[in-house]
Amino acid sequence: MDTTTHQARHWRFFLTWGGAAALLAVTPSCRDGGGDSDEGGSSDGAADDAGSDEGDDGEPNACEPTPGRVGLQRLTAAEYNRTVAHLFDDDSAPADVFPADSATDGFNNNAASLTISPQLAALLLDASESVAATAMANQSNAIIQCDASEDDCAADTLRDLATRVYRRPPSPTELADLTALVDVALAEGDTFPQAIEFALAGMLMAPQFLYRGVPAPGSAPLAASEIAVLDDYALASRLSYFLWGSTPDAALLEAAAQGALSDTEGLREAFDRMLADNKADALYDGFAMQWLQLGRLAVSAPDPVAFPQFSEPLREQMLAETRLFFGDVMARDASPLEFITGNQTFASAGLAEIYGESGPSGDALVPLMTDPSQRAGVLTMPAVLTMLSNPSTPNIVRRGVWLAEAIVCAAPPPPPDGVPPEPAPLEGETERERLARHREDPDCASCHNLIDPLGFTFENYDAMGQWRTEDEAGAPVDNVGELPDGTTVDGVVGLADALAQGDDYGRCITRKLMTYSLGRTVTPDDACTVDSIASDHVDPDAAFSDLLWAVVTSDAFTTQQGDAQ
Amino acid sequence: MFKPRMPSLSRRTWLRAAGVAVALPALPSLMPKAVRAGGARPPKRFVSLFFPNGSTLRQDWQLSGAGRNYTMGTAHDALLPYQSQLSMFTGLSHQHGTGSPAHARGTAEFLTGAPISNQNTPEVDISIDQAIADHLRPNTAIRSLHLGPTPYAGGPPADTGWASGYNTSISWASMTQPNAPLESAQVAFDQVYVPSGTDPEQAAKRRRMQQSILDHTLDQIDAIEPRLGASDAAKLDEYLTAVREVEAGLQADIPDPSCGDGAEPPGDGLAFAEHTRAMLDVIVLAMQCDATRIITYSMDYGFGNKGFSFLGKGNGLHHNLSHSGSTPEIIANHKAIVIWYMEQFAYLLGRLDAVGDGDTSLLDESVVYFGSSLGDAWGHSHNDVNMMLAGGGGGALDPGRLIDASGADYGAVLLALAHAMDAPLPSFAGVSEPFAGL
Repeated sequence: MDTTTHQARHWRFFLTWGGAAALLAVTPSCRDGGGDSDEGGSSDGAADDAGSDEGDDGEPNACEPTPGRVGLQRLTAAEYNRTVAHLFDDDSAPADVFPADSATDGFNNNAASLTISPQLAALLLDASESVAATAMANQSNAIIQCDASEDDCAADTLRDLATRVYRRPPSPTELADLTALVDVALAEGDTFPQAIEFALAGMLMAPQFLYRGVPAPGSAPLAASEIAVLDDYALASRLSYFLWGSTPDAALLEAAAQGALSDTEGLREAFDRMLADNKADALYDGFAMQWLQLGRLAVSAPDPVAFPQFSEPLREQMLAETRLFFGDVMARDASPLEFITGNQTFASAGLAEIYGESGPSGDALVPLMTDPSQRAGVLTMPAVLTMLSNPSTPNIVRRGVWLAEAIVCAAPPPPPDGVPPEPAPLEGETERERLARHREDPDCASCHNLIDPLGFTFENYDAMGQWRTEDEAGAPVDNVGELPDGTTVDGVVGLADALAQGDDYGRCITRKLMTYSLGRTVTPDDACTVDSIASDHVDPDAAFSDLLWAVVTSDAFTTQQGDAQ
Repeated sequence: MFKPRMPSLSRRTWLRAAGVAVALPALPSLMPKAVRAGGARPPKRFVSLFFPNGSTLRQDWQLSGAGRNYTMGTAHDALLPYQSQLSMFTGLSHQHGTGSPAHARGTAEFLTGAPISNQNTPEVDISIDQAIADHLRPNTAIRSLHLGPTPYAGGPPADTGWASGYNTSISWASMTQPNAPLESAQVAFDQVYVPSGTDPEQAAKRRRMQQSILDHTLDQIDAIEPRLGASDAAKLDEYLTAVREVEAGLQADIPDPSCGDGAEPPGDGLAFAEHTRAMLDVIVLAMQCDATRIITYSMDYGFGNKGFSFLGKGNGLHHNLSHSGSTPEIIANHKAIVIWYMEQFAYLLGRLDAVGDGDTSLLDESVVYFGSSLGDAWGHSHNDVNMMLAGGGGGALDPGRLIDASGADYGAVLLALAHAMDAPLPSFAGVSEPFAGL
């Protein structure tokens, strides 16, 4: 496609699809970007070459999804840790010593960012040996089920082990390579179990273990114009690292061996079983933590004078609330809208105090219903409101940017060069007034006209998330804000209601789930997939599992495009 | 978060016990004067340290004067004892700083002199430390060592919407291959320090077996590559390169097996300030024992947002403080952080200066490039960036001056660093004429 067409699609994509049309119309400079700023939130401008989007009635039209390509994807440190824990009961988290994984699009499992440097390779070698040693210490009877004197014992043992480690049965060549490692160890005077341990260390250094997406032995490179359906083992890996952040278990590998994942019924059976497993907590640790940027809470430093009740245990409880809340929505299989509207949460005594509720006592978190006139899901949780604050005051801009990035997928670009610092507050000035002065500078206004009104809706919450009716200047709180499409809303509750009725949030959480589950950037070519999933599966009657299932059964998830010339 | 590691599992413990020792002197003090009189010099070392978020409306970094007669800024008191051993730059500016994301751009350009344009896939260009390593190919156990700050709970910070890899690494082996740094001082220590006392035969066996594992890895890569398209093949090729470097480390010289004996392991889970001090000690140990000659240290990541409440001057976070207003209190808090970084650098200089035989010191034989991703942080300025250069470079540098680099190409300064390291690259970052006057 020529550049102009691509450009046009690009803009239309963002316009329709982060929703947030007015905001994105001015991306990337917030001011002089392309796009038609008059365009409404749900564009009906068709992009003929991409299939078309939904019309104004919200019904997806016929759509030609393109699967896209996920490159070789190194296991993240978290995935490595979970994988060896589930394979070998090795809970030593050996990958914690690896250099940090960096993130693309907010998720650290993006294939583009996952590389191996010499420094990491040296640590991987150490880890391979230590994990292999732990595996044999924990499971040698399960790993070696034959008598070493039998002819096929080494091969049988290695075949079973490699099937688990490589996430598919080894080819004869791979098996011969591993047998050669056993022979090296035996020649060095190792015992048979030691030799198996050595070969296992070899497997753990192999690309078949360290990278997802290694094509099956015997396969040929796929041309860029070709699309292939993932084989059962590749699909099992993708499913397993999405739902469990970890390797397929024996039952899933067995299903793959039977070809059961190739039909919808068999796939659904595996999906339901996996979602019911405790290992699905990876959807919180891997997905939700990064989606909601909850790692930021760790560096928040509430002012001890303004907030003497803040403590490290309270910080942990704040984070624990988000985990329990997310897990509860999953367990009840409630609508994904509940993430931004729900009032059924969990609190310790300290958290209940922030909520202005009584009941919970002590540090343990127990179920709590929050006041629906004041609270709306994660948007008003102490964890989120604290991490988006200054030490003693709320930070309107930070809250607005977070909402744009995480909830409506309309991230503003970072400030351009040479921007002056925000003006210092004048005596008696409210934050709203100070920011209004800030927006008098046209360079600042271009973005802040869009960010600040989102942040204003949070004005009822102080720097730790407590309800307030007066702001820091002592003025009555003004919580009126504005969505990027111009809708005026009262406070976060009003904002959440508006989002629940619109399309922006649904598209955003779908996009985030796809980014995470695929491990690649979601591009304009995916707009049609995102739109159709979101419009069917993010509404009050939808179940969260149906949204996950729609992602899992999308062409983007079950097929792969080639990259060969 | 970190678990104690079994010391016996450290790769290099065994390495050293294997007794692959050679005669190459690690320390100037190990080199008899007679040898040095014969023309041999100790090997040169390259160290680069980075801190984020620039300085504060120039209320801390006010350089004046010229040449040897210059006055440092009010953030630089800790560096006064070393004024004759370091030079500061004035007027040195990034070539590619214009536009967002300012922090990511400044961090990426810091050692590469290169621009960035791919928001999703981190792509920069080879950095000068790696170009030097490629040229010198030092036969050390570690080709180059890359250190970083304490971990961030949510992963390294990203500059709005851009891949966080741009902030995480200042060292790049190639356009697509960052050298992400170690975040544990204990792990860094384990890489560098090799305790003695292992049975040499066992160690030799282990080394042979590790070589077999790496051979197996390389065989698997060879077998997989024909199945891959171009981009995946390039990705796997990076792994192949990394494995080859580990192999080279297995074969490398260990100059003095007793070097560093008695060094205290720093332990895990250190607070940021203690971690910083421990990393600086690891740098000195690595240089002293010649475990590596190329080191980079991101004292914090680009866009770094560490808390500095331990300074007792407010509890704002570093990045937030650097842009969040211009009250005297905020300026003072940011300045206190800049001062703290200068104190850490002064500590390193003091330690490097103290290792030697009286005639020369590690500092005299090193090129130490230190600074930030920005100049004045308030406006994300890439002009007049905060940079300094310490050490004698084994006679190649003339420290103790204010170096006027106005109008100079940033890449020319990086190229000149390579020349000072006896790595006379024909060009770097598109520049073929090294900056004169370091």
